[in-house]
Amino acid sequence: MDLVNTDEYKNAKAKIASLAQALDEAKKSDVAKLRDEKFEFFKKMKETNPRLYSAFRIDDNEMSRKIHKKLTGKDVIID
Amino acid sequence: MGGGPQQLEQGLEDAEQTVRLATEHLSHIPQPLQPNITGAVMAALATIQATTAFGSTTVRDALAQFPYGIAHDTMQVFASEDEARDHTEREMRYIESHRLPDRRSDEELEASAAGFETSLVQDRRELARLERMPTPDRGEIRRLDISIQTTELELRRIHYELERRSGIDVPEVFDEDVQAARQAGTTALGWMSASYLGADLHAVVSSAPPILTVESERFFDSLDALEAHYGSTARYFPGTNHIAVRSVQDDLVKDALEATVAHEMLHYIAYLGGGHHIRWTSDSGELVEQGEITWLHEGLTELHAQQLTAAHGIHPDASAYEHEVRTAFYMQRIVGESVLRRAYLTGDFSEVRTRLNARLGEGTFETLAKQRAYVSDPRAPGATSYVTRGSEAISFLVGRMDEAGVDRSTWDQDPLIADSVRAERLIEGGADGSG
Repeated sequence: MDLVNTDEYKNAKAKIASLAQALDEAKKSDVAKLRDEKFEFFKKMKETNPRLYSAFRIDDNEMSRKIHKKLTGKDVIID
Repeated sequence: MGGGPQQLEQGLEDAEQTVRLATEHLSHIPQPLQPNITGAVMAALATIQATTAFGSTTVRDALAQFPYGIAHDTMQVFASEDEARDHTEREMRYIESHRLPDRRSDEELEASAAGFETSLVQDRRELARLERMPTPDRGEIRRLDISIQTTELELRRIHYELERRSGIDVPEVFDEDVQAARQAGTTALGWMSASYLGADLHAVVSSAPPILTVESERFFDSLDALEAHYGSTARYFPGTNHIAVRSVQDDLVKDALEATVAHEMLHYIAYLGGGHHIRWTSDSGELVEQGEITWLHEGLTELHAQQLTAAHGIHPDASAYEHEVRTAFYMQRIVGESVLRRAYLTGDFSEVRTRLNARLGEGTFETLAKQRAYVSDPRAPGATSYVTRGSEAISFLVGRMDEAGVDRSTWDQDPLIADSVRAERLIEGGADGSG
């Protein structure tokens, strides 16, 4: 089955969408909690399902950039 | 658009005035304010587009007037490594001032460090035992490996915090890494020739060449900690010509140095050229402004970095963003190398759109390139019909190629994407990777 049609992919995608939206709407003081949640979520995915992580690595990166911008007001490109 | 011909003509004149003023004055506007000007220009262009029936300028002409790329005289252009390192120090201070404070006491930090050290010893012992097994459990080894790396990072962070409290400032840049990065920087910049970038962009890059510095693990770890990121190896700072790479005595990182440096330089050059503002002209002449599409931009950056290094006899092990790279690779095969490179560097994807849709059917490019914020975003109903990352782009693109009868069997053997193709086939059920 195509990776993007698996339940694990759809569940992860929904979780990421919800995290990203919460991050966009968060005040600076709320970013810490979301940041920890994001770190644990992607760390676990990387440990348990590297193939799935390869699909969402770009989201991990994009969210990091978003957090950076939210906390410092500056853009950065992370590799 | 409402209003009689006179009102429309007046609107058109106003819009053209906006574009002209913005074009003339953009270079005097500080970089952080430029998006505001971009917004005004886009609104003006929309007006021009809507009134072209009155025989005035076309969207494409207006587009040609407006520099989508950064006006480089408004950037922070560093002339030397020393100047760029001053920038790093300012960034470090800035990060420190935005850091969320660690409220643990020194004793709590030390106790936490002791716990991490114990767990490191146990994990390393277990890892060594697993690696000695006749049939090692690769999944468990991978899990332990990541766990060790994460624990090491946590330990480093605690040490940084304790050092910070003690006022100790430790520079941790290895001379060997500085020499290697300088060499890689010179090599990679040599690849960015006028024939590769185009004469205009090459001239801009030559007037503000990228400056590469090697920075400490502490600097990178501090940035990573700020962002809940892990193990970043390089960064480009938009609005500057500064690229930083991590000083790390890690052979894997060093082997990929040229590709990493080329990748960051391409980010910078595309930034200069307007490549971060993806846009195209539709069949009806409408200008579609999409802005940055992270997955597509990263895929294109890595594709070009990998191909440049390979063309010069250097073959790094693995490429980052395999799905994104594979999408970019197929697009390149379909639309042509120079067409895609030009679009990547300038942001104007009109020709890519035309060629991709001609080969794979109307709407193919739009489905790939139109973005919505979130699948659950009530402002974007139907968002699931768009792709938001490389894995979805691949799924969609492969489907379109199959429908169009595109034979990709030779393409799939290219070392750049072969691993990704094999992994996908394994998931689809062919244990031998044959599909």
